Amino acid sequence: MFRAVLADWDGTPAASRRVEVAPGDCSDHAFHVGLSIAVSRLNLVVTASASPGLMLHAGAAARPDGAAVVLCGESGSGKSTLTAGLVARGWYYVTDEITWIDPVTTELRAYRKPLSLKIGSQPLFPALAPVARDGGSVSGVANWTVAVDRLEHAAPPTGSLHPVALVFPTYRAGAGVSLEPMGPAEAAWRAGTQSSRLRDLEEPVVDVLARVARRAPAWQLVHDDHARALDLLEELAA
Amino acid sequence: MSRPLVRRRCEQRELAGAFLLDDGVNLHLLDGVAAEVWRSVDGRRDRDGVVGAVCDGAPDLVAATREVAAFLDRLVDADLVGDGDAGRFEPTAGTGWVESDDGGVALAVYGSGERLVLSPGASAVWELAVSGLAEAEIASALHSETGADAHVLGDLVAQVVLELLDVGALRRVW
Repeated sequence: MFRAVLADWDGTPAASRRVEVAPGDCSDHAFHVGLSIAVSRLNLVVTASASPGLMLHAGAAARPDGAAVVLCGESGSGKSTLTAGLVARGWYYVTDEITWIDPVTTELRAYRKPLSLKIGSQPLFPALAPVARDGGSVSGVANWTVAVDRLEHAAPPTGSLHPVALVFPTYRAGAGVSLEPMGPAEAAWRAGTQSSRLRDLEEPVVDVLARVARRAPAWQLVHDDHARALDLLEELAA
Repeated sequence: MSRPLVRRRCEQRELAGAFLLDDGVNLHLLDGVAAEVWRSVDGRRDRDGVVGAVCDGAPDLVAATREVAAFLDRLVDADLVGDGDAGRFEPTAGTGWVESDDGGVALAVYGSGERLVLSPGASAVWELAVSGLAEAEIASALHSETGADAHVLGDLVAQVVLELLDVGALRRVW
């Protein structure tokens, strides 16, 4: 029913990677559920095929000059929600799932997969709701898969993508919003525990993690107020 | 465990007073008291020595001692620290030595500038230590070679090794 097509990862410009889905004879609801599954599978393929680098389980968005905020954390921490929020404020979409960081330069490589929005964050982005093939609405889809061209139309940054803040979000209902600095050792450790294929790095893991943590200040963000959390993230990159 | 010692296989980097460790399987973060415990585990202090070094000057000595002992146990449980007495030895970086025709060894320790001329017995211990033997194995090898009393040899080896560690010519490793 679905056919995911992935161009080679290594050195391939982001624009040429895409997923093609043949919807076949199915309902719009089944189509969108299947699309979500296809994108999840695609993430696994991308993770397995990427060249050696630090592959953080993280979302990221960048300003026009390439300064990027990286949002690293477990599923449910708010990575995709905050990434979508920054993009809605005019930031460039880098990824919402896998942030590839060059182990030497610490520059980011974009993986502009369709953005996934879980049911809890969907009310924040009503304009991104799934659309039926006839242009109508589709209800009951637990995980929205949002095509990149529906997110924003910001031009890619002119410079390289480089992290200016490494943020570890935690969504906690009733906690308000707090942003606390995090020491580089804890940031390196937490980044490492949220990374894939660490053992494929060509130099010691601790060196790569330490390099990233030294170059990008790290923060612990606890949030349940979307707008206020985005304000703080924008201040970090200002 | 008489002298706790960090396992050699661990890659570590210190960042702003805390340690990031990689044991090849898992990453570990040691900060605060745990970082102090890690620094003090040098294979020369015994367990009480480690606890004492970290707790020195603590306002609540009893609570601090309990906390440090617990951290030490956790490091052992995580297999990051083992029994230093089972460890082996290697010359410290920059230590140089020469052997005379009669088997005597003269050492120079980089950094401290310490220079030592070892006795024949101490020279034999040195040679066996840098060949990769553990303390008990050195004593056993000397016993086989000389037939001398094993207990006496054990004490001699322990004393020589301790002095070589103290002057910085040797370090314990796994």
